[in-house]
Amino acid sequence: MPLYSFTPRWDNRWVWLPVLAAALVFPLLVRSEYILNVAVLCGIYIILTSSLNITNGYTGLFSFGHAAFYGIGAYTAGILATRHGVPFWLTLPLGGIVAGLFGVAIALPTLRLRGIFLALITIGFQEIVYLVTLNWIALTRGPMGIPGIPPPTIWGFAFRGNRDYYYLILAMVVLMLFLISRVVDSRVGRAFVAIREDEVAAQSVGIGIFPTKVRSFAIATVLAGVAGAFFAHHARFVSADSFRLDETFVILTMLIVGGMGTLIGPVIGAVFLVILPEVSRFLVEYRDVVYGAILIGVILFRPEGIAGVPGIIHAREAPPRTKEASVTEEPAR
Amino acid sequence: MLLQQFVNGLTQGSLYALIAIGFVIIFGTMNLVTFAHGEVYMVGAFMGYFTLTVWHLPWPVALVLGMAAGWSVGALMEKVAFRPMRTAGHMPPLLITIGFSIILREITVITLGAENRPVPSIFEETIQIGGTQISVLQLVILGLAGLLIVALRLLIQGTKIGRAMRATAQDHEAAYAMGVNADRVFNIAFALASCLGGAAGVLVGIYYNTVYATMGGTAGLKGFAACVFGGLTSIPGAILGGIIIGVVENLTVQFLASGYRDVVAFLVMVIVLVVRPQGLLGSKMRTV
Amino acid sequence: MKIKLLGMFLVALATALAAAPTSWSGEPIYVGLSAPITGNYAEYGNNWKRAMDIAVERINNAGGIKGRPLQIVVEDSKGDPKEAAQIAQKFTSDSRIVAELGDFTSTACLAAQPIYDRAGMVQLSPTASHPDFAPKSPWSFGIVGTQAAEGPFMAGYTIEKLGKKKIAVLYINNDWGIAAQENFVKKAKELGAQIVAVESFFERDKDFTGVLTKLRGAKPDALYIPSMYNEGALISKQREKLGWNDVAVFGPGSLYSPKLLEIGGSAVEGLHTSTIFLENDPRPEVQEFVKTFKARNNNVSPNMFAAVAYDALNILAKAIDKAGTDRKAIRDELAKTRNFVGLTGKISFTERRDVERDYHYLIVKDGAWTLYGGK
Repeated sequence: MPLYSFTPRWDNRWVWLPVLAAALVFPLLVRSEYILNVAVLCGIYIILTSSLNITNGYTGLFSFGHAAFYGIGAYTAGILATRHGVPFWLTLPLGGIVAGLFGVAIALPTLRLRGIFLALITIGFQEIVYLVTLNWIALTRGPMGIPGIPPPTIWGFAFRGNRDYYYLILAMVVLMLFLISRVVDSRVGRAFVAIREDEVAAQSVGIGIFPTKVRSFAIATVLAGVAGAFFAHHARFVSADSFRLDETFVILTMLIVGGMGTLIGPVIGAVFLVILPEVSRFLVEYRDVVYGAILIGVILFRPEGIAGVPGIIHAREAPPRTKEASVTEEPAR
Repeated sequence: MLLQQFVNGLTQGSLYALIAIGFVIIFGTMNLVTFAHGEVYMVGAFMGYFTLTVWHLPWPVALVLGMAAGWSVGALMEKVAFRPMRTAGHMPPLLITIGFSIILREITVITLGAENRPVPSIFEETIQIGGTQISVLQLVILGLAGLLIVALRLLIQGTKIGRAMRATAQDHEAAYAMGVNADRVFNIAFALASCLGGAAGVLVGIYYNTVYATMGGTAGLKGFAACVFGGLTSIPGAILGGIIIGVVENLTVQFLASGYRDVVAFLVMVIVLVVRPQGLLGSKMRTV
Repeated sequence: MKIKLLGMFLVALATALAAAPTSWSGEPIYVGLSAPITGNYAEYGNNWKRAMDIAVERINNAGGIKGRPLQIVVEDSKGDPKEAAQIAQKFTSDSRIVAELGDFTSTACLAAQPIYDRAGMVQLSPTASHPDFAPKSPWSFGIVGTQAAEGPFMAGYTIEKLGKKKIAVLYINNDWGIAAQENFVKKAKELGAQIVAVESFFERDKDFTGVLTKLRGAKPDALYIPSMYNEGALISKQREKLGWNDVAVFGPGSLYSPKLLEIGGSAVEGLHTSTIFLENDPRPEVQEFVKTFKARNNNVSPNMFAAVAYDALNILAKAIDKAGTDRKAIRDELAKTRNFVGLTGKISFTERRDVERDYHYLIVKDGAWTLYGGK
């Protein structure tokens, strides 16, 4: 069975149960705070990459502003926790909800734009969020960032070492993957894919293009916000510089390398690209060059990534023959 | 004061315009968006730095060498990365340019360091107009940018290759049927755009007396914004877009706070995309 | 991870063996350095590294610390607070590392601080000068002095010494710049001067023509620019290009560097700043340091950042020498440092774990840094 079509089900439990068991036992065997930290980061990026996969992978949209929603979730959690003493079990969902609200607000005027224009506008939005965060010092402390975010306290249990964070993010990842697999299997998910494959055909079978796209955007941004809120309580410091276009490119690269449009692609991509810079820290200077080279290499030689839907990159429309507006023109393949 | 801000804005705007025109040429001819344009501009700037600071040659030489450097990098990028991707739509080339931009930037950091490199001052005098002092350098840059734009227009309107580019931009299959070599046209278009980017880089280095490896990022994005604002396929639109953004930025600094300067470009871009996606002067195209 | 540790150990051992004049009586003592080796602040981080390498060599050539060689473990923070926090995680969970030096910016230090505090490891920053940094955790130390002292000093220089009355401020919008501006403005107002305009810029900005034009409109007779020397030079050059020459320019010691002169050229002539390090300080240890540094740095002199890095390493080494390799013991010993004589003068930690500095008046005259009147 090809990698990309893997979804965890009861009948293939011999494949994923051992992995899950290993993941559960992992922190009991490995005590290094540093390694556990890397593992927690893997978890955060799995959520981020999987959420980007919903818009860019399953629905075929070109969202390039993902880091902004990540940041909005992080700042929401940070501000609520430090300034108003809101506890973690509230800041986590609130981070997601606020990011989702922004996501919908952005989606409404912009999702009718196609392909490259959506990419441009999401980039513009991303930069604007960054600059406003930097300047609105009263709310965000601007370039000074928000330090001193308290660690989570769940039912009286205060998080201390990375092991606590690890178990929480593991639970979140498992839950999220389960939810995504349910969504993908549902009408909603199938509508996403239909839009990606052939928007005109989807419309002709009665799928509401615009509401479906907004829905996709909403889910993706809520997840990104939740990841952000978790990040805030883990790093215990948020600053606007962590949520710029560079970060979006990092997440996007993880998605491309891992593979778009499948459940497992983002997981692989995130884990691979989080671990790579850590084991190659001694290649300090060349780290980012390797990133860039991997991205180019994947696009040129294996555009579907490690575990993506084959042909997904080319499922986009080729450039139209002429530039003039044409109502009936179909996207050439 | 206002006049000075206006001249500030005009000068900066003309530099944005040069970058924006590059985007227009690439998008118009090849229907591609590139994220590596900022880094091409940076390569040109560094060539300018070497020419002026290290080899102590006069600034016209710097400008020519910077343009040559831009041209070469552009031609190379097109041949290596875009030719195989020509039928793949928007995304793959876009992603490749992201990879290229990272690589170009980091290689520069590795080989040349991340510090600011100083570029000597040229034309340090100012002239008095009305109550304000206008820097001669600003006027020279405006003039040079203008000259480059005029030269470009002559190239596109008057030469055979220019006609080929325009034909390809309008309808590349028809152009092909007419015997236009698409490969050559695309390569030249990309190289030409990169050449202009390189020129902008040299001029920016001279204007701000510094070049540095990460200068491509924001410049590229703002050039983008100018291009979108003016219309993705219109060169006059790009010029207009660049100048308007430059001037509004400086007026924002004067009347609001300098921290908000950068927001202008992106706000403009977002508003244009929502209200009139084909830009101010662009032709109506499939944007939805 | 284990292989990597073994590899590092072998490399360290090989280096130690290569460098040592005599045989070592023990394994190396490891100190972590979190600094910007790449990125926006790369030149500062690399200057640190050069200076600290010189210090480490001196120590090891004299027999190391109690017969054990001193070894720096370098991690690139890129000046990014997020990276600094991650490096903190790495250092604190590495049991061989006994203390940490770094980071460069106050913001990065503040981000890493909770981690060093929770794990219990010394965080000694050579350059963090934000007044809130060191007092926040018993494990945090700053040696460059804080803006709470430098700001008023510069205000006195500008207003009392040079008689300026109307001042415009252009500061870099980060933790340090904001603190520098606030402390300067407060004292300036107390001294009776008028602050006619205050504007800020962000780290990556290179274009100052707009904001300079705006400040010029307020007609100040002095311009105070809390920024790093890169931006300081650019601001000066663009000021000169706009033909705005009837204003005196001041800035804190972050401007003092040979690179300011190199980039700024004629535009920085007459710029005033403060310093705690003098290149032509006649003391033999300073001259020896300057000579060695220049030899390794294309004949470019060390700036204040290199000098404080050198001092930081030596202070830490001294504390380790006295206290051994227990992290807590090192902290306690470090806090007791009094009257340590470094390149940058006498260093004593206050109860807040920062240092009260004596500043000198400096001015750029005929293209070179010169002491100005007074001290």
